[in-house]
Amino acid sequence: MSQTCAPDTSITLQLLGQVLLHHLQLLVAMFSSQEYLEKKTGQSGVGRLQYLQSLVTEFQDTDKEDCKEQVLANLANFAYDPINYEHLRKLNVIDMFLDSLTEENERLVEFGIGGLCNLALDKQNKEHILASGGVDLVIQCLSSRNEETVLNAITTLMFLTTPASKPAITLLSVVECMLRFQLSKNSRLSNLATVFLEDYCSRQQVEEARQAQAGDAVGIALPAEPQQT
Amino acid sequence: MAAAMDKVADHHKQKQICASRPAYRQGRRDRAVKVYTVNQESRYLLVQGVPAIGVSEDLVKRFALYGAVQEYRILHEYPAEEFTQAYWVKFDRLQAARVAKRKLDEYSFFGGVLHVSYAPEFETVDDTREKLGERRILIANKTRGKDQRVKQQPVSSQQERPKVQASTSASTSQTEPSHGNKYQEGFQPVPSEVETFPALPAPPQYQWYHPAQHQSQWDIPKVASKQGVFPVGYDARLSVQTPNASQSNPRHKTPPDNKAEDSGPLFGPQLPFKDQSGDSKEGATGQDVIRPDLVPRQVMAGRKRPAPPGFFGEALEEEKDSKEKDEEEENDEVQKTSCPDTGSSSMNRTAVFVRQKMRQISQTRTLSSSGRSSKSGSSSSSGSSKDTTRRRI
Repeated sequence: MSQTCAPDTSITLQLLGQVLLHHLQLLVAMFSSQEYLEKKTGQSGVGRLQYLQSLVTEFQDTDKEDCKEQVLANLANFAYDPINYEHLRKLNVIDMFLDSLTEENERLVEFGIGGLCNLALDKQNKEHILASGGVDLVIQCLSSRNEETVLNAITTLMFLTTPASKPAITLLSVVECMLRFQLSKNSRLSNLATVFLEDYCSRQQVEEARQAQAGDAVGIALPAEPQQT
Repeated sequence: MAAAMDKVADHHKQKQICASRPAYRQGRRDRAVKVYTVNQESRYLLVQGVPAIGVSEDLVKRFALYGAVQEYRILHEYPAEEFTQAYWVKFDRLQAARVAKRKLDEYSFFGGVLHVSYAPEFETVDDTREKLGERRILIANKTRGKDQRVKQQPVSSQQERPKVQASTSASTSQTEPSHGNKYQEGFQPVPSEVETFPALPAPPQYQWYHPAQHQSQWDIPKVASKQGVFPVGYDARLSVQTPNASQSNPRHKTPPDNKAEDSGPLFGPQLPFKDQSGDSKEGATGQDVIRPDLVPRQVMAGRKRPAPPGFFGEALEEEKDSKEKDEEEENDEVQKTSCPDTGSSSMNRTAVFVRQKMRQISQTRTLSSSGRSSKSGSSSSSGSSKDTTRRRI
């Protein structure tokens, strides 16, 4: 093929081929593998654990809110890939996320709950969060004004559901809240609420909540809905 | 199902790039401060900034590189910049949408810069349920695989230890159990990149040629590469076995026993001083591997080599007598045509040595021939057979 084409096009074809190959490799695995990390880091690079350690250290030492937000967001994104879970557990990052849920800074709360949402499916992480009383903290996040925070909180509750924790998660007030969310114009919110109610609550619980809702108007505050026009 | 967006949602807007990151955590690309969870991601993408010049097909082809595109639309109602359009692209799989978003965000396309964002608001309830279920399965597979690997890893690391040299293997064996005790059961030890390093290979050593490495008597002495040369003073044509050189490590400097010739790795092994004219054929031990004595061409310059006996199918016995005469003639001629002595240069040293050797050969042959003339039987016949075999070569 390279013989028939002009040299320029052959080079571009080769480059395109390499680009496509790289893309295909990405497509194969959603997460990083150890070999990929080693290749990316190189021999003289900082290892993953060391890097995460330096992030945690910066978060603890810094006074600037900007830096804290950046580091927390960075760690929450690392929590997406299971290859980092051991490191994060070792560095007590889960506790860091749980602590940030009670911060005043809304962005810190948003990033913290995002990190928990990413982490919560792993069995060991789940146990740690449940043991640390994370369910209550997450339920508190349901009343946040930030859309992303609420969405992540709903998903985190879903992920944290185990036979043991189900009663704590499907509290009456929570189910009521979900019913309200289901009626929201925000499709993301209503979808998640519907999935929660259909898959994680029993019919009886939903019925009880409906009846209770018909009765009183006080419950968990709704988040601010996205303004329409 | 796709709702017309009257107002641009927050997650469609491009956030400001963070410029205040310290260098150690500044990534390869400039990014805003944002967290992506399974809720933010979707197989629906919103593409803004596409030039409104009828490039739908090209755009979809570009996106289709990363996965099957189920559906796409132009969102005419979407608030877009002048001369740009917003596209709605639906992928078959979330994974493909992730890669496409990562690759094509900020991509220069027909003069415009694409802004690609996820659009989870276009999902149905089933889409969302499916998305969450997929995430569950992925994590379960990943973490379950790790548990299995954790059990196997101590075994595999033990198997790898013999490959590492003794000094480092001791350190790894000491660190591994401590890590195992320190953390939970399912804890995978810190990856090797943080721990010990594999042993360095032995430093390259100067490989100088030593004929002790010969296994057979017919091996031709070789240098390491085509550009290599034999050490000065070394004559590869001759059998060169001394007990000192053969027994010791060729890399160590062997102090010369007898003659104070050039010692050290740059110079060849000791040239033989005693008579090793092919009497001892001890190839089995590998030490005294004797190659047959070759008459150097330089010595025989200007003189045709006589045909080996039996070459023309003649009877050998007839040739013996003639051969004796030839040898004597040769020796005379060798002495006549030898190189002139012009000093103690290495070449002349070689020539001198060769001449000495020839004299020794001729002396032994005359002795054997005298033995033959006295008819001493087996020894003479063996001597003669040796002569014939030598001549053939």
